[in-house]
Amino acid sequence: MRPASPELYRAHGLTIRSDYPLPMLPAPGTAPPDLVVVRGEDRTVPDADEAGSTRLAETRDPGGRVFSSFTRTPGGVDLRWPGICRMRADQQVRRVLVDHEPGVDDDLVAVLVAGAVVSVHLLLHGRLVLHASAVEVQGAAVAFVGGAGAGKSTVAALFGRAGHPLVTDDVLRVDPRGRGGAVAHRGGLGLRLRERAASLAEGVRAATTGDGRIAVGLPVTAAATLPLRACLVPRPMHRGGGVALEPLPAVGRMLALLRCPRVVGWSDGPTSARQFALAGDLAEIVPVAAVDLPWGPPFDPTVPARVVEALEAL
Amino acid sequence: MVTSGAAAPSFAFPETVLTREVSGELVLLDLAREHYYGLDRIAADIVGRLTRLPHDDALAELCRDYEVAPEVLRRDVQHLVDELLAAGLLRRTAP
Repeated sequence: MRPASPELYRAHGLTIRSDYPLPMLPAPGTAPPDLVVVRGEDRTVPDADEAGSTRLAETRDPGGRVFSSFTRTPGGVDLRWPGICRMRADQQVRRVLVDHEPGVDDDLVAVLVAGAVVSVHLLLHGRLVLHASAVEVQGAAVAFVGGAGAGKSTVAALFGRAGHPLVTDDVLRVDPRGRGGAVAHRGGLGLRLRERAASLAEGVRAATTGDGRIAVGLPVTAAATLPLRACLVPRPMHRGGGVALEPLPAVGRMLALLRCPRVVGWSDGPTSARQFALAGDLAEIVPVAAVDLPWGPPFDPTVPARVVEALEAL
Repeated sequence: MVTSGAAAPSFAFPETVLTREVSGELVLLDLAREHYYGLDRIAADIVGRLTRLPHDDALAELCRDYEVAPEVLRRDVQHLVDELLAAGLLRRTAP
């Protein structure tokens, strides 16, 4: 089914026109889109990559089956999720046509558009993409960096409930600017929490997302960009303990930024080299620290204030 | 043929290995294996000299700049080089 009218959104420094409703702020109607996502047809997603294609990224499920396969083809870029959808784009991923596996819901595809497609677009345009959520603290962005299930969204929700506006969830575009520091871009609206963090959604639970998580509506920063104050790697302490910040040494800073890429399994050399260089730039100009956090449920509402206090010494 | 007066270094990073110095330490990305590695300041300094200078000149410089017995230095440098060669993070440029 084709939506009645595509919407125009603004997130990650991009203007996005999408047939799928995305959890992002609306963009002015006159803005030319950087990325256009069009709903195509219902058709079976092929199991194999197109002949003559070269691999950009691939992930497999625990059973060894391909979960996602991104390739560059003679005609552009092919993003395949067998059993879910196939997205065919031009070489710069500016226009994406999405075919659904019959029966797959638009909401699930919307999650892939807001996350993976936006990330691939940014990567191929040479932007630094961190697998991170971020919140606003005293006029700057503080990012929580980590892989899937590391607690990024949970910490961001804890901060959101303590009055810190959300900057982004799961995808963070950062522009390192040398001695000028680094700029974090506002992403989408709301957070996607796993069930074990459901207590943080009490009173602010919005809906269930297409991938089965809890969508949480919390205030979002009014700023399209913010200076990036720090990148923190959450270390959930399930047996209690206090908040403790441990600044990472040089190599550790860069590895912390690179270790958990937003697009897993990326193997395209030039793009990887660009991310490597940008992460090195960022590691030189923005503090990166591991942070011990008393974990829940129940989650301690005083944790954000203690982290903010610890940040002052960073 | 035009030749440079400077002697060639004994080692180089393979083309598939990217390097980045961060505050004196060194991060290496092996594009072929998609692995990252980190070297602390001293290891980064050793590798930096080995990829700029002939082996014996690099050892002489290191011996001058670090308080270490020559035989200990030679052994430690060889150990580091062996590890990096085995990991494919360094290659010999000369026999």
